[in-house]
Amino acid sequence: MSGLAVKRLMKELAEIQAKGTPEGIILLSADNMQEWVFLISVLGDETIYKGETFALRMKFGNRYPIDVPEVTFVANEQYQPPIHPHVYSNGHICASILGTEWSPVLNAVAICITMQSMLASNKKRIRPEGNDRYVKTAPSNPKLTRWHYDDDTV
Amino acid sequence: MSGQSNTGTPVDGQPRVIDENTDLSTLTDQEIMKLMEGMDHQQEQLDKPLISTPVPLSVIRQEYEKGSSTILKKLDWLAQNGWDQVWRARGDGDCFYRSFTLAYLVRMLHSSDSQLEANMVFEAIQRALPAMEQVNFQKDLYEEFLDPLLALVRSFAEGGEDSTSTEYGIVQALQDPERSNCIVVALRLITSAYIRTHSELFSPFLLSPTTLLPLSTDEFCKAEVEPCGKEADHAQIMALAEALNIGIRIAYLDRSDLSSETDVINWVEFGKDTSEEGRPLTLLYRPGHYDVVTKDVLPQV
Repeated sequence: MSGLAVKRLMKELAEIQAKGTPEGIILLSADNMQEWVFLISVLGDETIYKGETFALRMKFGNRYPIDVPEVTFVANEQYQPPIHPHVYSNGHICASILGTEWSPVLNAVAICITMQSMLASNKKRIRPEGNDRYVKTAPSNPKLTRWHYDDDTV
Repeated sequence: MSGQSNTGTPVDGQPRVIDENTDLSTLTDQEIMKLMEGMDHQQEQLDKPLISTPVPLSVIRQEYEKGSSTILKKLDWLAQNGWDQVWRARGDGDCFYRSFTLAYLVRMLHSSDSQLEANMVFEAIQRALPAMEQVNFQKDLYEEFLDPLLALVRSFAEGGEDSTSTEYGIVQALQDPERSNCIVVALRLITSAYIRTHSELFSPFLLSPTTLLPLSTDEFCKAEVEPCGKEADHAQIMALAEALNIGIRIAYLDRSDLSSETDVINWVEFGKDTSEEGRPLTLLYRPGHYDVVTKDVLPQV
């Protein structure tokens, strides 16, 4: 990895260890500088995700933080992606900050906060339109999908 | 940094996603052509250096030899007036910011007093920092991106036989992806902070380049200024020129009509002092792309 990427990730890690993460967000594993996993839950009684916990995986490339990390919800025996109109059943997420609106001043925790608030504001327990078709043909890296960001109401 | 974010769906009605799982026998001719084009284009861009040592303007002219006579006339006018060197930036959406950096450093190099000039540049950058604080960019984050630029400026300020104090040294520094991209980010943040702190001035001009609908200052900065790979338009260029108090003149190489015989090319000017004495940065614009254009300066011995 590049010096910049390692330096930045070390700094983010040190900050998480010193100050902790926001409520509802836990760093589950950061064994190396390539891949981290966070646990995310939505706080309060109002949410449709009450009592559920999701795992968010981030893969940091060589060009982090210039380039956005590859971010997906974990889909395995232990964790399932949230049922949400912008989260596909394979864990891919359609969100502008994970694509064209990524900025190098954002960081791993900022991504978690965005995901948490995306879940918190959702009222509809549905998969995106065309989920099955997308999941069948999707590249394994969601960054290779061309996304169209159409609304921020859910 | 809390989180609203636009979310949505894969592009519908747009070409489908083609990847290793696509059955190749289902590809249409159009899709195949599109794929080939895409490969060519991407590979071509990735093979190019982030910024290159200057080529004669005649190289650019060759690309237009069979094209528009208006553009050829403009190129000839540039050549006749001594604008004979072009420093090409990679067409990756960061070309304005990279061209700006090169022109900014070369201007310092060719100043009659490089050390004084470097100190002034250093000051100008420092004066742009309070705006970053004001708009709540994290200090340790923007400093990280700013460091490589400040290090280059400092090497000029300190004088001496530093390796970057030549045209070649500057190009080499800006060809190093890590340093070069950090500087691009730093300039994007300076630009964003200036637009955000001068919202009333900029807001009438902040449009989405795809939908042409007005955007709020925050939306514009988040979508069009801060992310890498997003082309700069007039608002960004004006903001950066003002933030660093530097004049920028951009020669527009478009097909617009020649207004008169004496004033053949359309120079679009930004910033306070764009007179010859103010030694503005000079860029060459071709639709969708910026390079640096300079008059050849004999190397200082």
